[in-house]
Amino acid sequence: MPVGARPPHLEARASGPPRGGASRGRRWIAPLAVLLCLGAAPVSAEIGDGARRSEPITPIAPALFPPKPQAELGRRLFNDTGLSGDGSVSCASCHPLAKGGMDGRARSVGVGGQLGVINAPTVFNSALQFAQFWDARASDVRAQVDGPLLDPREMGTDWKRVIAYLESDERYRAAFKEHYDGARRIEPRHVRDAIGSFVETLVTPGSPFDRWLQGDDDALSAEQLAGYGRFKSLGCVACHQGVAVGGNMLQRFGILGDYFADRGTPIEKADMGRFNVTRDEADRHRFKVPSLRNVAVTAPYFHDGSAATLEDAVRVMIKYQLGRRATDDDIRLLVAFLESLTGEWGGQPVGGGEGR
Amino acid sequence: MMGVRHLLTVFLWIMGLVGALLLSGEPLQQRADRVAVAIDEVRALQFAEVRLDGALREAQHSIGASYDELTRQALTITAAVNGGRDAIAAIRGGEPTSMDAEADRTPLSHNMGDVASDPQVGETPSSLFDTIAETVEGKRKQVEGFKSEHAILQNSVTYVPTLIGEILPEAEQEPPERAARLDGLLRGLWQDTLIFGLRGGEARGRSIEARATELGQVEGLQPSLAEKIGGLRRHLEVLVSSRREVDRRLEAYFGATEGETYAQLQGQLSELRKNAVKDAQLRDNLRLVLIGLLILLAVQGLWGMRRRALRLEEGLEARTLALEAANAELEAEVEARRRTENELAEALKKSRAATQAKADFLANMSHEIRTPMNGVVGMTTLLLDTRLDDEQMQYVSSIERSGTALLTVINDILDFSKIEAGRMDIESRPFDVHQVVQDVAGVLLPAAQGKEIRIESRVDERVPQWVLGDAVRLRQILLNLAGNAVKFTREGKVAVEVIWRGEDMLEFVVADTGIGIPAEKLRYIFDAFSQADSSTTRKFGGTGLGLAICRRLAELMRGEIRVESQVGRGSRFRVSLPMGAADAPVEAKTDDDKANDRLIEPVTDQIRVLLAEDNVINQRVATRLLEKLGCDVHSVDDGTGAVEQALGKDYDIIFMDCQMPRMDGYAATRTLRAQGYEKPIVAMTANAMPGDRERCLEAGMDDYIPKPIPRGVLERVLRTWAPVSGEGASDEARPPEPPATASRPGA
Repeated sequence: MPVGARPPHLEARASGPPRGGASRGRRWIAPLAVLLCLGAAPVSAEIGDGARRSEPITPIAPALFPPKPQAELGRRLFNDTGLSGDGSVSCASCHPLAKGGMDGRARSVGVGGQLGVINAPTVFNSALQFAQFWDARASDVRAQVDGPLLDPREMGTDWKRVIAYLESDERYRAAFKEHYDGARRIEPRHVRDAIGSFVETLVTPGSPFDRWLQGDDDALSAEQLAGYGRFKSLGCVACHQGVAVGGNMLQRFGILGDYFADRGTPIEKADMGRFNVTRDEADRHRFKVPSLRNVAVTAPYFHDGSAATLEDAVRVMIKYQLGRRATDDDIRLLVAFLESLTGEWGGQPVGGGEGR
Repeated sequence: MMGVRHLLTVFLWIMGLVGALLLSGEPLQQRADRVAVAIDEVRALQFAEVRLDGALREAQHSIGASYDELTRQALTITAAVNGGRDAIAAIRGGEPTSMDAEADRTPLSHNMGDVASDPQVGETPSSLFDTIAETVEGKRKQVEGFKSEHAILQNSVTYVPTLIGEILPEAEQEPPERAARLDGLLRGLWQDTLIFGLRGGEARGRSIEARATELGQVEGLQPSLAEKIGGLRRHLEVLVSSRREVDRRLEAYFGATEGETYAQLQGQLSELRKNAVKDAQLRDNLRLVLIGLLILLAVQGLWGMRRRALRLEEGLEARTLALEAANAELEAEVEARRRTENELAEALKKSRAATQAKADFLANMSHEIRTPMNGVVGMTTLLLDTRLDDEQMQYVSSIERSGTALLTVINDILDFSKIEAGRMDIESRPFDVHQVVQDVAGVLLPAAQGKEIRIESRVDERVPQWVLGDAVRLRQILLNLAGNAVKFTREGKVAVEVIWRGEDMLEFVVADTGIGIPAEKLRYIFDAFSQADSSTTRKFGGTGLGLAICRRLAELMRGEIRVESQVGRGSRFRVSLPMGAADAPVEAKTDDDKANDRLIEPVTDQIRVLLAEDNVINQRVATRLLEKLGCDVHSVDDGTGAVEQALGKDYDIIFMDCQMPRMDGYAATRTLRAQGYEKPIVAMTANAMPGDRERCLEAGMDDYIPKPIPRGVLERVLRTWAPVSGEGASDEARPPEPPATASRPGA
């Protein structure tokens, strides 16, 4: 994203601070000016010039990841419950593509019917993010594979068993041999690469907002457009930006309020977030900012799945992250905007229909 | 000898070659190349950091922009650093920190690993990189921190003015004092926060904090206002802290400079590369030199081999030449030998021819000599039977004596020549040895009686009657010895004895009481032409061949002859001959049997004889002799005539001369026999050569008589072959025998 011109708000200096208390009308000018300046570039876009818009959010280009032949093998592995310890769970179990790439549960069900500890995020567009897992412990979608596989509550297996399982299958052996230069043995890195290659293909371009970004003025409704303006002016965009509308930074959950205290339930390990990785106090309750793409179809929300609806989630975000009071109008418009972030996959909107 | 040295040379050469191959500068060159890549990668890392710097600066000054670029650059740095850290961890035997993110591995990490793992590289570059990596990692952390705090700051910076704007009107609702206070604080905050939010500044920050604290101290506010103030205060707190945080992170980020370390690292890597390249080149040069040396060695070796091969060739050539020369010599020798052989063969042929010639000469001579002799003796004999007066009788007797002596001499010479020519055959057929002795005694009797010498003959009783041997030659020997004995004895006796010396040995002894032989002459007595005394020749005559002939005959009969003698007492001649008993000869038939064989009819008193003889004189002689014996003789002078006559007329017996012109006796006989002529044919031959007898018999003749014809022989023959009732038996031997040398004791 070319960030060329000087940030608009610096131009706002010209308007100067509001004077005195008498000129009530003029007191509105400054914030408005700032607001205007803030929204200057994007709001000016509301006028619509059909050009590629320079926004803090960038559209998903379908060719972000060149298709890899081993993705097909990865797809098979993604759906193979045989990879799990008791053969009951596959990647798709917690990340079903038909249902938006996640199981719609606050906690997923792993091997032996065990409940997981955290809200499974959607697998869609995960490759666009700068790290994987809520605590950003995996650097990419390949490294991520180990997490669920080796977690005793999730797929509850180990690499030895996985390899043995794969080696016992003639087709897997042939497929791995084909894709990995005739490797004599299937290795974990082959499995990671295959699954990762598949996950890379799970990007969902074609959302209304993306189309709007790409110049389609009719892609968004007035509400959604206004919602986008609100999204920016309220400051949501500070963290939920980039191509993934988030997913490119870490942030404290509860900046202007103690979310966890207010939640009331006991603090669990998952609540510690990045702290579990770095052991740095500063990282307590710090999480990877999730991507808001397809957010409308990936309830429940937050790492603990505490928000069942988008409205709830938005409300929590505004309160604890922005420290602002959200009006119903804000909520409505924001939700409308968020809904415009639902992309397409397999020719269908994400979350509705088949698509595996 | 060549083996061990050769093997050693080959071994050393192979080692040298292996060494040359190993001594390649390639690995060093490869390392140098990797170091070059590492240098490039370090530079790339530097550039990446510069880009990150730029991205951060941009993010720092922007509100509401995407962090994607900043994040991307931060990830690039992280990947590079992680890769490097992994490589270093791998060298140190530790675990890689990143989780198998191969896609994140940059070439740098691989190369750094290579470089770091190089024993020549050592600790310094890797520790330098550690420093760099640490710094870079720190920077990345700052970036992450920056993003969080910057987002928060953005929020508060934008919201605080809004909030203040919202609060101000409400604050005015408050009692004026409070309102004024609030207003003052709020406006001050409004300004400060804007600037502070954008530019920071510790003084301003503290100012904001102070004002915020003051705000908090204002009491008695309306609840909604109080709430808003509370919210504002929280935001101010957050704003200040986040601003401070952002500043801190930025300061930490931009403060961390590892430019020097980079320079150092690059310097070291360059040095490394330079050295590696130098070493590689050195190695390559060494290798070339070594290979060159090896090639030289090889060439030298090959040259040596070639020399040796050449020398071998030369040696071979020389040897071949020598061989060829030797071969040529051999061939020449062989040639010479062959020539010699040929010459020898020629010589042999010539000698054989000569011998043959000699034999022929002998035969011819024998014939030529005997024929006239036959005439002389024959005529003399006839003459003796005629009426002669005393004077004539004297003369004729002299002639007869001379003739007989001459005949003896001739016979001796011929016999000796025959023996010398090797043409004397010794027969081996059964004969009556007793009879021979008697015969000899009988022959000696007349002469002995004339000299008053007693003749004694004695045969050992163990001696069988029939023995195997040559009767004729035995008689010859005995006659010779006995004749000599009689000749050289004035008085006394001559004894002829046969002693049995075993189954196969007989000893004939002729002893006399004669004059004896001087001891010194005894040795030579058997030599040819030697007589005891030269005066002996004068006194006793003789050819001097007699004893020589005896010895030779004895030797031919595989026996030996010895003599003992004492002068004045006498001599004793011993002849030992291997003679064994023999069965009575099958051929020893009676005359009657013989007559029966031939189926001769007893005819008239006159025997009709056909005489074939080409010599007129001999013819007359023979005719006369035969007529005297009561034969009717018809003569022809050649074989053709003989055949004609024999076939045409009826004869009882034919006397056939062997040597005749046109058709000789043999041919005539053969012809006659072929025609079925079965009457007896007796050969007359002057030839006395061995084989003649056989020739005659082969030709078909029944008997043969020598020429000159001894008188008694004719009678015998006639009696044998054409018997007429009662012809006087002669005291000559009976069985057909080769012509004996008619050696009448010299008278």
